Amino acid sequence: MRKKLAGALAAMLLLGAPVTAFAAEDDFDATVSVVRNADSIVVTVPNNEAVYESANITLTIPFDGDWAYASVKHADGKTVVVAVTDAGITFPVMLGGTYTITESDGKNTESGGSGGGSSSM
Amino acid sequence: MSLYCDGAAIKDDDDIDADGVKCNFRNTTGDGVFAIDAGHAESGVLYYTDRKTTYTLQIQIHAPETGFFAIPERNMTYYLEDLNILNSETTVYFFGAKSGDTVSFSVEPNTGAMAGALTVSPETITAGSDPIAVTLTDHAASADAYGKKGFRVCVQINGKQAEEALHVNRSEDYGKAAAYDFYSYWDGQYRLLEQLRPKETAGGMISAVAYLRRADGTPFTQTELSALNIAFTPNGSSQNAVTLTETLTKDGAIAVTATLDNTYSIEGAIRVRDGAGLELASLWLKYASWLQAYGKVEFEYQDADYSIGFVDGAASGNEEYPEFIRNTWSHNSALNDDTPEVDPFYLAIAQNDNKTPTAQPDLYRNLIDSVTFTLLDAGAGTEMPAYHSDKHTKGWDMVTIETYLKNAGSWALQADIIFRQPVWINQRTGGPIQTRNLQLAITFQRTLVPEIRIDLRDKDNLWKDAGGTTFDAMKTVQAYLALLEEKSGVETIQALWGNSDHADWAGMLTNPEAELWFTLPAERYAGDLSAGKLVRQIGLTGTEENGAVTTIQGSVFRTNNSDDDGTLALSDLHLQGKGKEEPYFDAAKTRPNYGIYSAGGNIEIEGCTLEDYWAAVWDAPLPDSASKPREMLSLFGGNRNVFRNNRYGVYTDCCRMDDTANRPTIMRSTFEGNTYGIYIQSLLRREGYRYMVKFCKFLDNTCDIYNDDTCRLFFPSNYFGQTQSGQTVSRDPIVEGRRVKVILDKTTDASGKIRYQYADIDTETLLTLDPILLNADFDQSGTLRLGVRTGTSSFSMRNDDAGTMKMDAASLINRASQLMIRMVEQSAASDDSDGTDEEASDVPELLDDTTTLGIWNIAAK
Repeated sequence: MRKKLAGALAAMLLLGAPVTAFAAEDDFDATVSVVRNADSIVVTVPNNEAVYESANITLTIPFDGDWAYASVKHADGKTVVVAVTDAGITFPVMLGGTYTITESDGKNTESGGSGGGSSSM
Repeated sequence: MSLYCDGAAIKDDDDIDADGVKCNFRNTTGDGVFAIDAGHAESGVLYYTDRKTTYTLQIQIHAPETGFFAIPERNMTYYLEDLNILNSETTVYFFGAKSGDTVSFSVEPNTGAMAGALTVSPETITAGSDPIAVTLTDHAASADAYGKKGFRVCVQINGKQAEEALHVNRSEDYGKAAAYDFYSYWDGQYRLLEQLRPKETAGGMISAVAYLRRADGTPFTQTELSALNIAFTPNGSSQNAVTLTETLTKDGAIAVTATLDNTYSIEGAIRVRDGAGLELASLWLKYASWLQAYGKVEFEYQDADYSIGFVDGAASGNEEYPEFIRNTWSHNSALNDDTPEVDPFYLAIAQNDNKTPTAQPDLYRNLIDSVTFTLLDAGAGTEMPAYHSDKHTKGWDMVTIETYLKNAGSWALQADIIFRQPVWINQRTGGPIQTRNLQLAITFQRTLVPEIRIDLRDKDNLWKDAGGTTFDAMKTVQAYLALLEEKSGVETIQALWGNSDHADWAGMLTNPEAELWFTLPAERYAGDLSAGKLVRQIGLTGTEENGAVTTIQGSVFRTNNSDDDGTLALSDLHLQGKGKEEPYFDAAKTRPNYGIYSAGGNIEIEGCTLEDYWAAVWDAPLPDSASKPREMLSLFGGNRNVFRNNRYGVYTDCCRMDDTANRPTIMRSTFEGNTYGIYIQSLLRREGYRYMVKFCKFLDNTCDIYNDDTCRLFFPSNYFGQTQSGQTVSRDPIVEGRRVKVILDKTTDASGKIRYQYADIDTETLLTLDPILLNADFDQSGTLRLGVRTGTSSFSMRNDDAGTMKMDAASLINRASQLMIRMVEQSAASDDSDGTDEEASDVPELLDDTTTLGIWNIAAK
């Protein structure tokens, strides 16, 4: 058994084929694009599906305006209403793509959301 | 007939009719009623999963229909991405529709879709329809990158987009998901269901038991057991066999014992099917009796991350490099040097990252049961080196290898490690694999350098005979050797070779790989040393005797302007110029007062002192050769050198660099009393991070670093000081230039956060940046690596060629408790005169809060 393994290992080393490595294939691309318009903020995030699905991820966009609530609408139509804090506008990221942030009265107006900072995206 | 529904409330069992049920799912907001009907008779599995949002479910049982359901035990946690479709395989899913509803399925490829095609049939169902069949065809798993998700199956209910129903991944990806525990991906009426717990072994038999139970706990009968088909399906090309035996336990569960006899590793599924072939449950089995790994490996044990690997025992005392040996440890020996080399290695464990493995002796003892070292021939080895293992004084296992010339070759240093308990070893592909036994190896290479060392001390050396002016290395080596034989009185080369039994030495004379080193007496030579085209490395080594050192009072330069394979290597020499304000040695201005310069070809310097030059290293086109290709230059500053009292310590203008190996480097050198320590007129490449100045001292220079290139440089871990009252005190770097952008240093503040010192000539200030949760450095390949540390967790990031930040998702998911990544706005394009803006992604732009674009908050689920 051991001899067989040793031969295999030697062959492996000869071929220079590393058995282990440390790079992962599913990288998290943290790139963020933020476009601030007069009455909206358009945020584009990359597709990181593996991560989005496997971790709880939120994105905070700094905001120093006087909005009490913000409506965050993904390009697919799902909307969440969140409270604006000193830290900015924090919303869950579950999909890559574009999120459009506008001022909200705190009431959920579109699919899925429950308002007041909760999310159902 | 019962409804099996774990983890969700069933309001009233009385509502369940023997003929079937219908479930309505409703989230707490009152929206999005998601109703699904059994749709088929007798048996079925209903999946309604949403990993993206936690719903509170209410299950309402309505009028009797046909069939029955079960809710996955992992209630709402997992998508159906666990669909285990191998190549060209069909898997049937039961997906019912509520009466009156129309449920449609569509297949969409994901980014980086795997090969093949996925179909769902039928694409539309209504209550009572047949189950959908998901078929993958023409898929070659080996053609796809690990972890790529190939397809998404999306669901529409009554024409309205609902959720993705399932993902179809490459099969190995499935294995990754399953590898953390042997969970069922087909939680249905039956569940297999308890984690396999392999018995402790040491390379031999593995035995593991899983239990099959009904979801409602009702016992199986022997008759039912006999009707089941329980078999192991190996994954892919796996040829290893597993023997399964099934017995009925006292409480009516079916115990499935998987036995791997004398097997290295196994991966596949234990599948339970009924008499009609319907798969009821399955488990993914992935285990290795002796897992082979190479270099440093990472593993998980009791929810913590560790690394294990070899550490160079000789280097372990140097705190700057307490790192694991990644793959290969090599040692070069000169052919005429048969001094035994003793190389110690020890096995070490570090927690979380690959640093400071020396600080964990207790950890090592707690995790490791035993270690056996073996040295194996991994190449064209000659004679096996002697080696022996021992316990390190601090508790680690260590092995010492002793080599002579006769032991040249490539060897595999292997450690057979038995952990006290099974651990999860992270691998490149296939995800972690559990093992108690790890066979860890590195390559140990002892290379014979065809090197001839000739000591010219006390000999009638050629240098003086050459007139003390120019030593012409254009002569062939053969001519050198002939002259040496004739004049120097050293042993003839043939005689020298004859002292060895190495069969190949007779060919060394014409071997262009051979290095020829001359050791020079501690004398002063007035004149220039030039070398033209070299076919091999010619080395000159200085000596120190009675306070005198080998000194060249002049220049060393290369005259040829074409590439060649030879290098002129200088070590431990003292090079003396005419004075820092004198551009030339001579009035005729034929001899520039440069210490080292070249019209082409390599010159390497190490351990040398260069002083009183206009330019100690002139890494720029020669004054009379402006038309020479700039790419020919390849000097920069070398290692362990002292540049003292020069106008320019190192003057560089388009220093040579290529993509493969050359990385202009100045390491562990001292710049003292120069007008300019390092003067950068321009750089050949605009990727400033490729130019490395590290662990250097800058003392009493008028200007430490002058950068007239717009490239942003990354010169960390250097010391800047000034002599005051006979003592050297630290001071801020003195940087000048047309537009200096140099990241000079990084420090750690009291809270453990990394802070960067950043020089910006525009504001004439030295800025200390706000803390950012990044620790940046370059690896051996020149790739900028960013480490992120949050509490006890750390992650690796990299800055890829597109300038985007990417993170190892596996690390993120598996280790993250809470992580914040602040993305900052990139700097505006520089005012490059050539219009390029290549450096925009060179170095992480570390700016203040006002430019924060967004903050990612990532927490493990």
